[in-house]
Amino acid sequence: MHTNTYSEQGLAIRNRKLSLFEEGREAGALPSLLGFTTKVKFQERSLLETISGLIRARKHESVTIFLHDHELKYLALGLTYRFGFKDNLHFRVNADFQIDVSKLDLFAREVGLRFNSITNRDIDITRYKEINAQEFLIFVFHPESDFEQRAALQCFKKGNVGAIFVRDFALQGVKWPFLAYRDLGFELSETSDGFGHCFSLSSRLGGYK
Amino acid sequence: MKNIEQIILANLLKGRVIEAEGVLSENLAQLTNPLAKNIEGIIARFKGDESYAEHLFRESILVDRTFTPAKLNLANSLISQGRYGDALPFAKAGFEESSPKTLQCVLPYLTALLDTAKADEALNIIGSLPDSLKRDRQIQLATASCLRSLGDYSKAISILEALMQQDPSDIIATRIYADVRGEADVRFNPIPFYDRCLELAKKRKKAAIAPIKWNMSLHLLRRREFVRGWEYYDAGLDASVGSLGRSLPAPVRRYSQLDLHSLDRNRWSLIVVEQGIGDQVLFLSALNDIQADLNKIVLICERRMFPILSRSFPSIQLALPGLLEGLEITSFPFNGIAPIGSLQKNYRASIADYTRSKRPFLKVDRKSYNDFRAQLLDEAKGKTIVGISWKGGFWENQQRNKAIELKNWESLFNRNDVYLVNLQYGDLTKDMKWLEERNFHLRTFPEVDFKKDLDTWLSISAACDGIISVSTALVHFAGAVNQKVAVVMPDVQGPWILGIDDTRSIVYPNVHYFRKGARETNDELIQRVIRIIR
Repeated sequence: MHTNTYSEQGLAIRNRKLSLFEEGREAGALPSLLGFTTKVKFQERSLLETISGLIRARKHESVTIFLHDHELKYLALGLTYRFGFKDNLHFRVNADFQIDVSKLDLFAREVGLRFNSITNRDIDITRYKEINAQEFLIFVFHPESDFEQRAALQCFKKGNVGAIFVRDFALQGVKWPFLAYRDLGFELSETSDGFGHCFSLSSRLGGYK
Repeated sequence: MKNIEQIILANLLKGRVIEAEGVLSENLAQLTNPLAKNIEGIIARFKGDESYAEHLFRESILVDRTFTPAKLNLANSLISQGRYGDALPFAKAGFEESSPKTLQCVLPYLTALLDTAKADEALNIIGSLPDSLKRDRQIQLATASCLRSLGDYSKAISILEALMQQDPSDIIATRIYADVRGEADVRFNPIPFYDRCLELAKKRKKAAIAPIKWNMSLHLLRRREFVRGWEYYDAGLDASVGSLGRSLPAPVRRYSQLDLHSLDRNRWSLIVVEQGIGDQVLFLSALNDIQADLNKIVLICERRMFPILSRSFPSIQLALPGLLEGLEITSFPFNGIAPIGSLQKNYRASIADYTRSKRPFLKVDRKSYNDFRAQLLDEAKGKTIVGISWKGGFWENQQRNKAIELKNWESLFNRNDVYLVNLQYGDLTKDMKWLEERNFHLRTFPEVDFKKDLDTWLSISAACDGIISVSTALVHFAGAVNQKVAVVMPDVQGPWILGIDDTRSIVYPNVHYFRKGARETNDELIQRVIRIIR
């Protein structure tokens, strides 16, 4: 079995099987989408796999992913390639979240075009009341997105199920709306991979949060 | 306990799997855990579920590491899956722990050794067996295979002829006989023997047809019988052929195959390169034709090939093998998948097809080429710049048949009108020492790893005035950029693409073959080749 040593700024892992980085494994599809010079970091790969796991678990249910960060192009393309060519995956992004398909390679361009076609830029997350309560919601935020995290929590309060992810949460001393989480009975916890996560996997009818 | 096991096995041999399962479940309490898991594994094998059987045998070994039957069964299961390398340690342990030595314990070991190019070890094992076992037909066949791998064709042939005389309907003996004779003697036509094997195999239910067709395909292609050759070439994908066949990533077999007749030209089609880098380049010679039909191609290849391929085929999307791993998960609408070797039948069905498309198809990095060319011209000071490569091949017999030791190249090193450039990859420590002792000069590029940096290797190859090389990947790369290449063949036979008596390549415009004459030595062969240098 392949054993690897991986290092990036602030992280070094030795003598572990790191299949996420093997070009012969599933993650080997990423370079075709992002370009072969783009380095996808450990946390980013982890986040992609975690979100992929959640989407797979929903099987045929409708899933909407909120991407509020320009750094998340890899998620947009990676998730669209994996799940976006069925009708039950949708994206909502900030108005200024753009993927310039003209800069993408041949095959990635089609994935980029598909991403654009299943992406809604009209409804901002802060207008959470307009979001269908049946939808499974996945939010991915940058670390300074205080206001958006509060809005996401309101969606869970309203009855949606889903998850919040905050990139670089464990890597830097970010200010986050912990009171908002606490007041609504949630917790944003950090993962060893570097992102923060909060799951709401039951409806407002009760159950585990 | 032995009785229960025997009853279960007797049921299985009669095809009564359900009854065997019944006996096992009724007597489970009486059986020890490793024995129960082992029997369950045997039942799983009878049901055709090799992966579950593998799991059960492994569990059995985990519970009791001294339980030899499970090791032998695991080895057999892995061999059935075509995983000979994985099977080897279990087959070895099973053999070493068994006493007395029986066919059941020696055969998996010999099979695994032979498939992993360890024929000399296999021959030693056979030598250590009691005479009664050595006389067994299957051991005799294994002996012939070992001798063939080690190049002792005449001994192998006499063993096989004796076996065929005893039983003229022995498919395996006839097949190996065709393999050995075809390999040893270029004038011998093995096709009628393979045809006989196929005829015999039709009459038997469980005869393995794929190994016959696969070996036959290479001879058919060598004889330029392309239509049947390519048809049988696909047998090389069958697990029963093992690692001697066409090694491809597992998902290629699981995902839907590309159907050229019903594909959607607006969708992407996945093409997978296969085998060694030389074969990859050879098959890429048809890529432009393939693209004309398929339109949108994702070419799955090794990363080290990217710079060359992205430059040479700019409208083809390159991807790493990892893309295949997610095929069953992705919702991206692909047309399907095809190994590039399997598409050749549609584009290379005759010599005329090759002749029509005989042109360079790879491009060198222009800047890198210019730099190396200027550098070599400056160093050569008017001498002819000749790149050389003297060894290659992956399999033991390939390495033996292809290589010409450096000492045979002495006449070339003695020429003072030639500036020699090393294009040989791999460990050259011994060769460099030999050159140093004789004060021969060979321009090397130790800073470039030719196995990894294929692009620079190609630039240096193209920057020479010409190349003299044994049949190795270099010939394909250099030939594909229109470099002049003289291929020296120390053995009568080469890879199928070199044909039987071809003197020039059917694929590359400037590649010529120099076959060793019947009474010619390797020294003389090299001397004959270097006369072409002007």
